[in-house]
This record gives sequence, C-alpha cells and structure tokens, in this order.
Amino acid sequence: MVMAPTLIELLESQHAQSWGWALACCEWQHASAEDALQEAYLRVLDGRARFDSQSSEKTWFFGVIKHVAAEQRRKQARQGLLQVFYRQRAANEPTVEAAPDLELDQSSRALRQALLVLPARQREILHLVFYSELSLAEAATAAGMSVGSARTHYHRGKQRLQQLLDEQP
Amino acid sequence: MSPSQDNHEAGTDSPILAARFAHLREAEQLTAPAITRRLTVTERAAVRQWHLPTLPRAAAATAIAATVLVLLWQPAAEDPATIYLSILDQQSWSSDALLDVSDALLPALAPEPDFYQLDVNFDLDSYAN
Repeated sequence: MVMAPTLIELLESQHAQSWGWALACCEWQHASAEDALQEAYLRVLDGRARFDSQSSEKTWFFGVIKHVAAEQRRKQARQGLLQVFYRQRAANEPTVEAAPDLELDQSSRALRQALLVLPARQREILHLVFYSELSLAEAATAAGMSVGSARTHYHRGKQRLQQLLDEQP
Repeated sequence: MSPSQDNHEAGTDSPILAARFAHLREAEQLTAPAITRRLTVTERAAVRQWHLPTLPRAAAATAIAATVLVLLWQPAAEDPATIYLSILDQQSWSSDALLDVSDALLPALAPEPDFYQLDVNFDLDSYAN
C-alpha cells in the first residue's frame, strides 16, 4: 500500500497537536493517550482508517483519534466490569495513571480540572476550538456531531467553563 | 450572530479563554512523546495462502443441533414381527379370515413382500381350522 507522502508529512507535522487532542480524549491520562495516538497512527498506516477527502486531513485524523479513544474507554469499562464481577480487583491495585501535571503551572492545572468537570461533548468542542484552533464546522466534524449541536455545546460549555474558572481561587 | 459568522468567530470571542488554552497547549505539547521512527508503510510481500472455508461457530453449532433434532424426531419403525405375531395370535380366526386380514393389513403395515408372504403363508397352515 502506498501512502501519499503529504498525509504522512502532515501527520508528523501535527504530532504535537494530535497529542494534545489525544490527551483530552483520554481525560489527560498519559498512558491511555499514548496508546490511542499510537493506535490511530497504525490505523492510518495500515489502511484501516482511510482519508475520504470529505474534510481536512487534520479534522479527519482528529476523528480517528476520538474513535480510538472511545473504543479504549469501552474496553476498559468492560474489563472493569469483569473485575468487579469476579471480585479480582486487588485492594492495592494502582489506579489509572493520572496525568503527570507537575510541569504545568497553576493556571493550566486549573483549566484542566475545570474541563474535566464539563460534560464530554462540551469539553471536546471547546478543546477543538480553543486548543486546536478549528472552526466550529471542523470541530463538529472531528467530534462527530452536527454544526448546530456543536454550536450549542460551544456556547454552553464556554459559559460553564468561565463560571468554573471564576469560582476557583 | 449568523452561523457562518459564528463559525468564523468561534475561539476568538473569548480572548481570555483562548489565552489560557494556548498556555495549556504550549505546556502539554512539550510532553508529547517523540516519534522515534519516521512514519512509513512498506509494501507487504505477497504470500500465497490457502484459505479453508470456515464456518462461524454459531452457524456450526446451529447446524449440529438441527441435525441432532432431525435424527431424534424420526418416528421409530415398527417391528414387522410384532404385526405378524399379533395377527397370528387370533387363533379363533379361520384361514380365510386370516388371509383377508393379512392381505389387507400387511402390505400397508409391513411393506416387505418377502417377509410377510413367506412367513404368513407358512403359519397359516398351522392355524387353519
């Protein structure tokens, strides 16, 4: 299979942005975000995820990352249910790895915490618009929702996020 | 605000939020794992493989269960000897009556000409009045 070099170059050039989006999709759990981004790259490279030219490459790849992250969450939820069912969860089992936010300053940590309080859809749209600097239409495509729905989530999320940030000390 | 205008201005209508997200982005992207190898795809070598037709497990289990049920539901064949004896037990019958009964019943109940013709004819003599 021959991959268009432009797509590969684009994936490499926007690696940092993809990483940020993977972090947001995985609620800032580094290990899960790394797995999701790695799996998304693999799916593009081996042809399981194909660019259909119906959106920009960046938007399309963000959609792939979101899809992979959602699959990972469902898998982890199933495993969690099995562990509860068989009561095999060890008492001292380490919890899911928290994001190593030691390198973040207070402002960034507060923003992360506030984003985690928001509903997932509002968080996704705000992240795509403000962090990844996508338009609402592009953000809607990447998040897999209509533009109207994205607009609603954007405005409600923005108000709620501002309120949460104002409440923080 | 029209949708197109809304789309255009999304992200720029809250400069404070935009600045905070940009700050978070700068900090997070420093933690991005490095791509240690360039993303490349190599052509997979063609390998001849023989693919045996495989039946999904559910279909195979259904087929086996259906076969077992069909075999179990087959009506048991009656033993011709039972019919033969039950007729000949009627010792009070005359040979003609017995012949009439055997001619009427045996072909339908035990359709094996060699069996009932030989045996019935032989035993009819001993039961004749």
